[in-house]
Amino acid sequence: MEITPQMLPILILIPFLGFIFLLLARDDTRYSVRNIIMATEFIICTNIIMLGRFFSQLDIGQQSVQFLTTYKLFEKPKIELAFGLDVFSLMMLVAIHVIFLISIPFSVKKNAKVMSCLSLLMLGMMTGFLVSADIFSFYLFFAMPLIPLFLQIGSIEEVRKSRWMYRFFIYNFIGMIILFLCVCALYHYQKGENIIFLRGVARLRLTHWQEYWIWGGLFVAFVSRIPIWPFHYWIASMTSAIKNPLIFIQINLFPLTGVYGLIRFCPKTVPESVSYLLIGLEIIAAISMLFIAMIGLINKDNRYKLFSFITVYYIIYLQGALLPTSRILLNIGYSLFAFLIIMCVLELLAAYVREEQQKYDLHLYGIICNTPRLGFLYAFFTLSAVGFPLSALFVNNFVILSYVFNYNFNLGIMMMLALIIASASLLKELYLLKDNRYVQPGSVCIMDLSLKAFYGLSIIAILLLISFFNPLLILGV
Amino acid sequence: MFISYLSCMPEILLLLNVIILQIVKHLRKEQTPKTFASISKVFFVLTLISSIIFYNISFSKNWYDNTEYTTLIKSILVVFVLITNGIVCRWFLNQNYNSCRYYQLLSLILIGLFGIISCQHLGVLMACLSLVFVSVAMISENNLDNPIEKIKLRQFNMINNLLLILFMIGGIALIYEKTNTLYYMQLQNYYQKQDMDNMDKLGMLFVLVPILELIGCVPFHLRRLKIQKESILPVASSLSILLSLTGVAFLLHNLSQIFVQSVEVYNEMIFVCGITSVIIGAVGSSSGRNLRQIFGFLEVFNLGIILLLGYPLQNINIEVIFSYVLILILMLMGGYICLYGIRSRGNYLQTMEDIAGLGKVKPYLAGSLLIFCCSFIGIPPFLSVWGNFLMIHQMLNEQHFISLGVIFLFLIWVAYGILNIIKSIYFDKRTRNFERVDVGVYVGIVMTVVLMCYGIIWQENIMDSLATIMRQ
Repeated sequence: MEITPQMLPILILIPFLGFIFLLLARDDTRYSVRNIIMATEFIICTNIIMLGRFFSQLDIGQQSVQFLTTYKLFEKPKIELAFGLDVFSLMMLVAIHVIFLISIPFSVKKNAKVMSCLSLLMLGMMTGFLVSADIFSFYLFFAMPLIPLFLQIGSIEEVRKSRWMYRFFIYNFIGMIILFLCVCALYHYQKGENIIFLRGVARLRLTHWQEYWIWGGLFVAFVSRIPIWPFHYWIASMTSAIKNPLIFIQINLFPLTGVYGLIRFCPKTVPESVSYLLIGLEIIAAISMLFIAMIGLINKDNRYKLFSFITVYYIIYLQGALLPTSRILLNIGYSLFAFLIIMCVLELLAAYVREEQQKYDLHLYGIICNTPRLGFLYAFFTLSAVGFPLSALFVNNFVILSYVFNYNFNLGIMMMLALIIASASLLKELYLLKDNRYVQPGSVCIMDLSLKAFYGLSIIAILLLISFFNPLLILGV
Repeated sequence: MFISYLSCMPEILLLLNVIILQIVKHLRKEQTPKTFASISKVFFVLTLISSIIFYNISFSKNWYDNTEYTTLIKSILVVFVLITNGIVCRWFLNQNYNSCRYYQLLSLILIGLFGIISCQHLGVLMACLSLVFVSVAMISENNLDNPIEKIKLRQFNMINNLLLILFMIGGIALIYEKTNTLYYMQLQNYYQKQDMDNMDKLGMLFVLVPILELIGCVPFHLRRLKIQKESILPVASSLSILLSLTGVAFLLHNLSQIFVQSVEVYNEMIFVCGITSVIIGAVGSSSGRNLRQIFGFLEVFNLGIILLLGYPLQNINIEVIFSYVLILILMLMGGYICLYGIRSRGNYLQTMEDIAGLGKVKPYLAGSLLIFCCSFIGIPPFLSVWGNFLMIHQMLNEQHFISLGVIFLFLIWVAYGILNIIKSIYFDKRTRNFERVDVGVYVGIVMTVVLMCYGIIWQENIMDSLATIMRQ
């Protein structure tokens, strides 16, 4: 089958059609839960096959957006939507699809229909977000995931009681409004243009004040997606209260939209009149990174530790995206690809351990020392996460950090420090989980991972190893 | 000549409906709510058809002028009444509610609203406004069981109506004293030649007050909110949409185009009313627990935006405002239709506590309510995004940065109110059993969604048609 640019919206449509299909399904028996999971997996696999086809025809050497296709949205005022793909967005798409593919069987147990439907909706919106090539489609898919995510977060009682979900929604809603205002302002001040491509934003001719407000707004809108200081504490509390790994992962995919937005909008050099805003952003990012890493280290909850690790990494990517060079863009992409998958698997394993621990009412220390399969995978993914040479994180983080050091030595030191602290907290967690001093001989032990799950996750581990230098290798390019 | 008189057929048909309903009430022994609903339905359909047939024929252009614009507004009003009629009929039947008076008063309100839109004479305008206000007062207290509340509402209505009519009489008297005419055309000619003095301006402002009351913006929102909270749902929903649409349509067409010279006088008042409506609408919607009242405040918030879009009246972009009004009507219509589906033991539910847990037992209805609620805060992909886009575009054109800032700042308050509704629907524990949802409700929801999609897909045609109609 020949892949044409016009087929790009099919990528977005497939999860939406799957959502409608599942919405009409019954979920009152055990079998229907299994059927719902299988149907969801089938829909995701279909999209992954489509993505593979797109990858096979992608010109890797070309940095610009390919498979570009436009659709008329409104005639008065004239607005067109554009969709397209490049290596970076395609890699993110594959990573996100893989994440959903592996987390759904682990996570969907209760409320299978609702969970699957909302996950597919979220997947469709994230796909739309990553294939959007103009400012309007970008905004539409930037704002849309808020509702399905809110509905999923609200289903957790602890979050509901403490009203964190309100703060989460309002915080993101403000970012959404600001982006909308900026998008409308960009369109308004660029009279005669039907489409404003994401890469073209930096080239628009604006007055000093327009640049000041619009770029300031864009920065605020994208940063609002990242749990940055001083808003991190309740986002962290909320995230650590979420027991379902699928929801946890989806919340932690949300900052990706902010980082990706900055990568897409931000040119090599932002307009001079707003360059000092970047300094402010760098300062806030550096403080947040250190602060969150420290809290992760001292906190005992492993979800909090994972959250701090994830946030630190997102801020590093954010800093990388703000560097005045586009050379490391692909390195950020490769690193993000590995990071997203590692983050997902780590959360799935951690959730499994928590569930088993609660089931047998055991202490967390030494809990995985008698479970070889679980122990091996936990160790592998933790070591990959902290930067051991087991995945694309190792080489590409090295490249990103070296560029940061080159650009600003102090910032590089702070990033390095935050990374070390975040990694130390993960290693400490691994050590405690595997420490057999706390295990009494003959005591009750948790169930090891099933063979099916072990083989499934092992394949992911092997893929990560193969993608050591370049994830494009495993994607067959 | 005969055809010219026939152009009043819509109003005559509505009047006939009132009379026939009264005759049926007296003569027929077995009166069921369905009888009245069926008769009214026939007359409303005939009214719609006759409005369209005689869309550009008027019996006297000086008194009463029908244009494509007035026909469009009249058609929207009747279509909405027909949709509501289709949904509430079964409820009237279940409650064994004598709906004769409801349909009679609704017909009278429609006659008054038709008059407000088409009339070309300040005296006729006053008569029509008085008819509307009195009918609204009667329909709102029609169903109240509690006699104390009924008396309170009646007193409130009487004082309110009296003040409004006094304002209108005062305004007309001041204008007539100076100009010796009450015809719009002659007034327009007069003010084009003469400069306005303070008494003229005061007269114009007095005329504007009842129109703002009709629209329901701040500070004239109290009665509307009271009606929305205390009346039965059919009354609350009908009045909310019918009155606001007519008020805005009159303001856009007549005030901004006919009284061209007097718009300077209105600008400040419209700006103040707009800003206060946005603020009070947003704060009210975030703090309320009654769904109808929240919808009322949401309407006030959006009416505030519409007024701000109309400021200054000299540079008004009627296409944009009217598009926004249509979007608001669709959102409100969808929201109210969902409320029609939420019933327990035969009663329409209206508080947050009442609808707790709706999402678990009525997922489709809850999903629809979620869609319409999210429309109010402009979350894509719903039609309101387009409305917001047009609004921002227009405000940037006019460089109204403060208005824009205020609107979006208070949109956060609105979002908080909407979150409360979503929380109640999806996350709170169910406190009562919900009745089966009528098919009519789902049909209404589907129709509204189809209209929203139509609005997005054929937006170009709608805008073109609107522009053509508005230019006339």
